[in-house]
Amino acid sequence: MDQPTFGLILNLISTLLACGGALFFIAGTVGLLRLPDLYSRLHALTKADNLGLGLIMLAVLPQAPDLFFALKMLLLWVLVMIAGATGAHLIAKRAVRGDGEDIL
Amino acid sequence: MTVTLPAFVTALTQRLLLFALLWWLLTDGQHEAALFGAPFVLSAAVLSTVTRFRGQVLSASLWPARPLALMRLIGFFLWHSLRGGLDVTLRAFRRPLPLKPDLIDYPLRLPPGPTPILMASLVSLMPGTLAVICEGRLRVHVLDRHSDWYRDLERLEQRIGDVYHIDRAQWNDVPNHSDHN
Repeated sequence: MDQPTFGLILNLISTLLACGGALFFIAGTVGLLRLPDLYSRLHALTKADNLGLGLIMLAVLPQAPDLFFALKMLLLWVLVMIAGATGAHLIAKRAVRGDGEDIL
Repeated sequence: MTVTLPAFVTALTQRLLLFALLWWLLTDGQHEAALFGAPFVLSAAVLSTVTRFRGQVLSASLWPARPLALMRLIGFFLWHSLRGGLDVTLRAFRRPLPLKPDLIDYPLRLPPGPTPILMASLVSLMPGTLAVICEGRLRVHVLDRHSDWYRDLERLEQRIGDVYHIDRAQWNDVPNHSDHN
């Protein structure tokens, strides 16, 4: 396979993955707006956004100039995943205890 | 429980190195960024070390004992978080909303320490489940109480146990609050 065709295929893969990622971010937001209670909204935010970010990260990987950049992308995804899970846990914990103010 | 000073210093040094490396990676090793990040690296390391030694039962090591089991856990987790994202996406767009939410107690068999925290974090990214650790119990919010979430949680718990070398025989037997039906 010659160089331009290979580049075209990589760009196509990146575009598809990025569109998929954007779709999951939209789904997370729709879920946040439509779902009825705090817990269900947290489900939508954590899971859909995490998957969306994962796909966008995968979309950027073929465009990475070097290995360092690719590792940084992976690291960002893992860090955001940890932060998302921890944040969701803290919010849900306050809701379970019922000591939050105006939680719904 | 008493904490020995060498153990504390070792844990603090490990965290300082790890967080400094993370910051260096994230900022491409820029000097200006290092100045900005230093206070955060330091405070994160101190907070993390203090949390580690505060009232924790240090029965299980933080470092995974089995790399192969860890790879299997990561594979299991990635597959199920993909399923989880798809599941909640499909639910969010349906009309009427296909939800039968419930808050249940999951009888956790992992010993107290770092593993239940890991379990809770992973559970929240699995399909249809959201975990809360409250007063030593793992409570799980499920989107659909008729789905097979219980089987997924059991498998996840087993895989975490495998990673940390926790024998099924040593697991806590706490069946007294298993109202998961």
